[in-house]
Amino acid sequence: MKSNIEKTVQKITNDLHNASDLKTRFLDIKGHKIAYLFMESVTSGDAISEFIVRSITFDIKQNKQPFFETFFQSLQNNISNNSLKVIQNYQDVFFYLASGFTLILVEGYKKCLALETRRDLSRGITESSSEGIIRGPKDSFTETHTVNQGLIRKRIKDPNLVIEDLFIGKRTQSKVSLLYMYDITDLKKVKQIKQKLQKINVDSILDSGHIREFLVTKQKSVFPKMISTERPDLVCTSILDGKIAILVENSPYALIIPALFIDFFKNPEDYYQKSLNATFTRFLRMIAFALTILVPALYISVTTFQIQVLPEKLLTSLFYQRLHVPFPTAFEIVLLLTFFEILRECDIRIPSAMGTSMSIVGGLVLGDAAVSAGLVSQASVIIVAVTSISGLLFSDIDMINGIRLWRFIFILFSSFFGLIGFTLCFILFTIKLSSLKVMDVPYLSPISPFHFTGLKDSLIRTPKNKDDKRPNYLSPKNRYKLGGRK
Amino acid sequence: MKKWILLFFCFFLVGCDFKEIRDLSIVSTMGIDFEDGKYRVSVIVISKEEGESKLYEGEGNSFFKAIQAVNDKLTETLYLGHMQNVIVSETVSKNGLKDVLSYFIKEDVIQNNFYLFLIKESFSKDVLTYLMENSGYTLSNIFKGNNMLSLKKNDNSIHAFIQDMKDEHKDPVIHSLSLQDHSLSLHSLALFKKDKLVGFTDIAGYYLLKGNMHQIYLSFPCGEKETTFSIDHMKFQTSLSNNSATHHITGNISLKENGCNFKTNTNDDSKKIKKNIQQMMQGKIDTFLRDQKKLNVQSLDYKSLFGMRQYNNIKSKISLHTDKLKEEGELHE
Repeated sequence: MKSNIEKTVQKITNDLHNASDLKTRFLDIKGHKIAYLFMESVTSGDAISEFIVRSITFDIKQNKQPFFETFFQSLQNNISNNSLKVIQNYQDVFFYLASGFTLILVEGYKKCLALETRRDLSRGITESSSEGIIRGPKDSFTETHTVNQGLIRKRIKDPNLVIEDLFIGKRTQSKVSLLYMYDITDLKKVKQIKQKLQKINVDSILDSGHIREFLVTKQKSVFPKMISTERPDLVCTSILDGKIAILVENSPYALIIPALFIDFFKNPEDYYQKSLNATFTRFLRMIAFALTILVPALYISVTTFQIQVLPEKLLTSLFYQRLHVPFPTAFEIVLLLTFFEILRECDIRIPSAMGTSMSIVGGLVLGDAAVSAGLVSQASVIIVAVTSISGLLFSDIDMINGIRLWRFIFILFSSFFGLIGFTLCFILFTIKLSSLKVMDVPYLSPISPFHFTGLKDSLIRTPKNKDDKRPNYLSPKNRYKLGGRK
Repeated sequence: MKKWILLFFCFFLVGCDFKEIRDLSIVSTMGIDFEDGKYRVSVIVISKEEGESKLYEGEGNSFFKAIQAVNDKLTETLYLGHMQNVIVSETVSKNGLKDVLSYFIKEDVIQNNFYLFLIKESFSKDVLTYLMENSGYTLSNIFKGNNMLSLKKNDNSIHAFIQDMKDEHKDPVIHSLSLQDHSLSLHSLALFKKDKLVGFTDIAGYYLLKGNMHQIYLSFPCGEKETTFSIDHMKFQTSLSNNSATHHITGNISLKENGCNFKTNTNDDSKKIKKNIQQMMQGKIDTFLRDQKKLNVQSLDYKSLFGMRQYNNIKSKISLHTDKLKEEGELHE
């Protein structure tokens, strides 16, 4: 920083390549030359006028405020702002300008004041679009970091809730917060994550998705090892179980780590329902998982290799259905599944106004017209429908993608080797899943290796008054949920 | 590396077994005849026109060649995996079913759970033609709608036949059909010694002893009218004494009256009915046991039933149970 404010302002302007949203103004207050700078796009004009300009030009000029030894000290102590920082390092100037701060330079000083005048760029707290529930809190994370932190803080009022901030991304300087319970979470795991985060050396972190790959580096798997969620209640439940949450600035998705395979069969709504109903729903999800991965492959196997396992009436029905279909069964299934994936991708991307027309075209063309034209058989359409609908039960996009990939691997094996290939693929799938670890916790815990206490909130959902222990596999400092037993 | 080895072996394990359902000629029923030293195989194949079927036949010096001859006549591959019935003629059975059975065992796609029938005094092709003409008729109906007995579970599949053939203490049997006056019916029980047909016997006697029966229809006078009684539950219990001279079967049979009200009958009528039932059943069992002895076959597993191979000294004691009736009778072999 230079003591000549004109030169400093010029340097900042040059370094920002004459950014059009950079606004500067020079003032003379009682013979002291000052300049203030801000970036119009991220700052609130009202806040600048109301609090800064008014304080400087009126209160200080009129001697309404006590005068300090130096003019700089007077400014520092008299401007009404709750977040005021003194910057001495020239490089920090850009960070604060981009973060919505207004900088005040005083002639003769090699430092400046940064006052928070951030414009509210958030879209407000809305209902979760990807993880909807019927019963339970509807709020979801937004792109505003402080709001996201607040949504968790207001739920967990325990002083043991730790929120640690890190800045990652050389150019974006994105704020990444680590949230955990000091007296519950295994601090070795916290340290491990912190080290990994600190090692990240990239230009930009624009979303929580950007840091996922830096956190899980050892074993590659299509199945997710952390939960990505919009729901603050899920984050809080996980934190209270001893897991660690990560919030990234400008991202409405929080990460929960470690996430095990069984966690993707849970839903925040499970905890707002009767335990028996929630357990039943979990079993449904497991059946759906098996259906969505295995059904097309099984269908191909038994209709092209092991035909003898089909009941006689089913065989006859399939015989007549497939009589005029020109494609082999495997190709037909892959074709339909690919069309469905395209349709699903369109459904996510296109504006909702066009969704209805797309549904009509997709449903009619893929379903009725394709069957009528003899391009596909009714049975194949049913198989693809069952597969696709079962797959829609999962909300985590990485889980959906993992299922999709393994579905195609199963189809590939079954298309070439029938039930033998199917069985072989199933063995490979099981080996792959059971060999995975997330932060030294086996991915299939608590089923394999088996932990009885872990089962209380995994396969089944025990009533809240009986679910008194935290899962063992997370190595929590305090295992007891009820009454604070240690 | 291990993955590649696994994939490599996968190819050899699977072979070239890929087949599309639409490219198959699905056989529902097969008939096997033997004439002039040649096998003649007839098959009913599901037609491409829905609800219809077609009959194909082929001849050959061996059963395999006859099958090949049928296959040559078809545009699609002959598929025997879902065959429901196989009908063999008397001549084939007398020559022995060894060739036929070995083909069925070796062909991995065949599930060996289809019914095996024997057609008496006709060709099996005639039965297939009869089935084609009467498209709604299926051979499994023969066990349900027979005028004499209704079987609970028919275990005379090809698998049961092969198992019995291998068993030292038991000889196989096949249900024998008769095609007379354009009517197909269950006729008798064909008795086999290993794979060869040796004779026929009364079917009711066999099932009365075996106990695997849903209903038996017996006709006898009830009061003043001729009335049909059905036995709808049958359970045989075997009790053995240490002295082989007094071996006997105790049969507990529950009767459900059908067409005759026991309550209104006098005591004399009831006794008469019971006597008729016992005599009828005794006659059928006696016929079966006599045929077994004459042909020297063991169609029931006597070793497990009586703990001995000979059954000359068996005494059958049958007791009948109904709500109103109870009387015991004795059958002497």
